[in-house]
Amino acid sequence: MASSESSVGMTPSEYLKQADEAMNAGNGREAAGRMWKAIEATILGLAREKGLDGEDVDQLALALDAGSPEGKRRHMSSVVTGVTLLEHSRVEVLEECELDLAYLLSHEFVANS
Amino acid sequence: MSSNSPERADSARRETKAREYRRIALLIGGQDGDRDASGSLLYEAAKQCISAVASQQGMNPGPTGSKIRFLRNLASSVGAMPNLLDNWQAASALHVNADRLHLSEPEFDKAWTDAQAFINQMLQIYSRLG
Repeated sequence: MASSESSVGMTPSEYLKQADEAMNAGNGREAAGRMWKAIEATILGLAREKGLDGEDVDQLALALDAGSPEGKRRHMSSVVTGVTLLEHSRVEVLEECELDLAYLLSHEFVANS
Repeated sequence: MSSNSPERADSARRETKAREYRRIALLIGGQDGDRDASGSLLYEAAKQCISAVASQQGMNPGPTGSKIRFLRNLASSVGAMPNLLDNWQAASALHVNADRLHLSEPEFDKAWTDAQAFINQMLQIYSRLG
């Protein structure tokens, strides 16, 4: 479901910057789409660091979580929130406050990864 | 709050509803695998949990925005409830998925697990505060 199309070339922090700019400009759906790209780029980057092959974000998130020393599934959790943001960028499915929370949690994941 | 106050009665009714929605969600999800219907019910169970705890405290969280503000305050006040907001987010993802079917199988599985964790956490809080 989660694809990595056109994520090449920008870093997570660059996507994050774009997302924040869109959010600050009041364009929540654009911000949601950019935030998804930030999450996707984060997962792909972490996977490369760990020597994991592939482009399927779901599978990479599962593999990253499997190697997590604390046994948490924070990568897959972020992907779940991310694909909901992606859906919101396509069709408005989240209320403003729901978007705010999803955005906040995703922001923390990207910034702290 | 007195044991026979309207808020107490409302709180108990919502807790019962939450458990019933969860029971049906697990039944549907387990038997015929209707994932979007069972996910939607699990989201309803999660919402009822929030209302149960809020009502227990004499509050009415009302619309979604107020629910999230209530949860934020709750997460910072009760302690020892890791990922409460993340788990609510998972329940929200199930809600969106019931309409949009945007979650892949592993994404749905994760959201399903975390939404159940959210319900368990909220029922624990309910028992603790009761």
